[in-house]
Amino acid sequence: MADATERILDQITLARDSRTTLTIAGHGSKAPLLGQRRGDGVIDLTRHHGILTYHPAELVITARAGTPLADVNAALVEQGQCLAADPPCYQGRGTLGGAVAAGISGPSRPFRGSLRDSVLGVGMVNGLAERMRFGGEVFKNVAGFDVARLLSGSEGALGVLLSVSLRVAPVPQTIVAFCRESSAAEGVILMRKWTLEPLPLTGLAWSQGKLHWRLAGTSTVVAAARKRLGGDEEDPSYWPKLRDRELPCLGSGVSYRVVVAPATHPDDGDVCIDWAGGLRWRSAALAQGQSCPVGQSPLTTSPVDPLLLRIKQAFDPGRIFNPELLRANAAA
Amino acid sequence: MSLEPARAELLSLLGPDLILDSAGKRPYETDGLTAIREEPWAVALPRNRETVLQILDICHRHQIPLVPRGAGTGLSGGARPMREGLLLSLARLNRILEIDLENGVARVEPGVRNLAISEAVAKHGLFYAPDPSSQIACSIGGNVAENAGGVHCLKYGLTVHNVTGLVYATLDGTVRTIGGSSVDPFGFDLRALLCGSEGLLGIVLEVTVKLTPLPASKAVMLGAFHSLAAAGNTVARIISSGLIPAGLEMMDKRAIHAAEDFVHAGYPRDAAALLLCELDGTPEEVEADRERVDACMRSEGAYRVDVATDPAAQQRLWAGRKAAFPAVGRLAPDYYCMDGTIPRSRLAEVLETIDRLSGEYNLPVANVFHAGDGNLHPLILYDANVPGELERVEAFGSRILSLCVEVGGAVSGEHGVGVEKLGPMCDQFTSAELEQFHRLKAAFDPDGMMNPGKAIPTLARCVEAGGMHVHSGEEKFRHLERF
Repeated sequence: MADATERILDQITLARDSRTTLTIAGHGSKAPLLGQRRGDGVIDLTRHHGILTYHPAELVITARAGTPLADVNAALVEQGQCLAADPPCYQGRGTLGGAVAAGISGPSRPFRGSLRDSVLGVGMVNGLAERMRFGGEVFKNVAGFDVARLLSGSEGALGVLLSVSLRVAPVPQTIVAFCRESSAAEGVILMRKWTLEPLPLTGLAWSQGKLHWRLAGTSTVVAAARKRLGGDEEDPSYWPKLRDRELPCLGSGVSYRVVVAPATHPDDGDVCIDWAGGLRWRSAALAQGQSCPVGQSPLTTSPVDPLLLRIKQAFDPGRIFNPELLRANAAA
Repeated sequence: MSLEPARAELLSLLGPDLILDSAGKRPYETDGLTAIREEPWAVALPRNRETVLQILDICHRHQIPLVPRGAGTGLSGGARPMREGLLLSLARLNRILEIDLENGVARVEPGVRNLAISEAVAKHGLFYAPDPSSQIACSIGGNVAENAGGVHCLKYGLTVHNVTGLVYATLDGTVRTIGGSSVDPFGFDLRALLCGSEGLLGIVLEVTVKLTPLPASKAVMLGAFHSLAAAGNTVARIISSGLIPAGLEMMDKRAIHAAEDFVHAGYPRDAAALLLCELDGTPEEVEADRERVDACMRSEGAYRVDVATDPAAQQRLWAGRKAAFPAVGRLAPDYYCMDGTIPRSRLAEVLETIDRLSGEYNLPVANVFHAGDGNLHPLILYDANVPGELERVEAFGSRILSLCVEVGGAVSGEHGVGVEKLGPMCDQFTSAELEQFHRLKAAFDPDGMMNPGKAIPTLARCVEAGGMHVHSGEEKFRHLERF
């Protein structure tokens, strides 16, 4: 446990008054995916960590932003719970705040919701060095704009997360992984068919000539689905490797990640297909959907919608935080 | 603001779809919060997106404030009209544009009724999960504006969890699309910000919703308890056991009696509290979950547990809960429905406090609520014709909401802030937070023309309210000293 709130506030106040910029940094685990940030100074969130409250019966955990995801996951598993969105935790180095700021969900996304979905509240500091709280620790809360979920995916462009409250989920009793030989095209057709059936799926992916799926639930439910879908049981470690981009196929051959309508017909550019078709790791960009080069934040591409610039202005008028993001005239 | 030239332009654009006479405007004077009424300057009933955009252009050029409205079922006065503002009804934009089975989504216009989506996709074994109690009438655009919940959101999520794409317009006429049939866009996720924004940021023109496979099997269970605490503890035990029921509802004695008198659902009249628990999934799953819920209920002291497995019996068990509001409405000339959320662990304590306050204010309360997610709906019974009674109800209500904030909850779980909860918002947020909300609104609506005066109180209002508390010699959370 370490509380660096005062130091963080001091740093932001100083940056605000001296018109300098700050990079918000955890362990840097997402730099290979989203690129490096280079501000004048660094807010080091790794020294701001610890679980603040955890009430298993409330299905809510609140922790400081710099808490390693691995620590959060360990505390949850002890109580038979987990983060349903299963965010990537690259070599165990990802932090909770980094995960929420990046807004990246794991393979269970289409079935169990996104990481953003599970955000209930945040403590944050804006560019005026004002400490604020939005949302809370309750599931249903429509008081005020949903700033907590707006921050998920904003990559620190609007402020520094101090703490995050997340809704957690029970760990399914049984989790089994399966695969079968399949072309990408057949794979996508099956993914879409199965997604519309009441099956206990928590993963549907395709890579290297195989369709992979994961079933989770009570043992009877999993057994019934297993009988229905067939396939060969495989080592479940396929799924964390897919999540953390550790599969061999997700190396240098992949230049883009693309979110797309999940039924989109795959082509040779699709190296790996996750999210039941909705997320593609590709060797080339795609006309449909939204393509983002690996190693580059979607918030550095231009042109930037003037509305987003005004939202940035509303939180960080001095453009202190992560200055490379949301630049009006960024190089393409 | 120039009303006269705007009226002429709107009239030539809309013809009979612009309502200007008092009689025609009457149905639009109020939404579901009928205690608050106002005659709008004019009501526009456009039939398509192009006309909506032309209306926005006229309002923008003439600086006419705009109040958007869906089906008008909202419970917090979010669609309360303005005497010098245009009420923009989106009810006629009611086409289901596409049912995209391959991608598991439906694309609909904002005026489509919530239930109409589920009805349209039922033959494919699918449904749209959020089910606010007004689902027969309420529109999807209004659901987005309020981030509507419902009985089944414990398991299936709120509107924000089930909307994958939005097309919306800001007052300057810019149309933007966020997301679509892919589950998540990269970068800023403005979908979550627009869900629950109560028409302050933009006009929703199209919604893409996620379709969920219909469960193969269902069961509804009723547990009867001799105390509210035992029912509350059962809720915690069920959730802690690793089970997320499709729905988990609680009613107190007054609500049980009212419902029983009204629809004869077969509820036990001697119970101090009852729990209704809906389970769904595969037949095997429902069977296994039933045993677990039964054990949870009995171990916390349920003296009666009923299970309904066939649709008719299930409907009967739900009938009492679904008719609870009108049933309670028969007990007094008026009732005021509150909507706060609290951590489940504080349930018994908060209900006890509400009971004491009920005595203090001499106003009876019935409690019907979404216990699984800690969303309380205390119904305060009163008679608006008794002078001073409405003011007493409002004072009581605001103490309940302050209590919700104090125990770590929120002043609105699903009904929105509208005009009704502007005061309690001052309890929940600091001035820096409220100013942040106002700056965020200004990013979308620099002139403050979109549903002005709703959802986010001005600082001046909060200061004034705070001043009133000081004047009467009480602290902000003044009720706490009493317990």
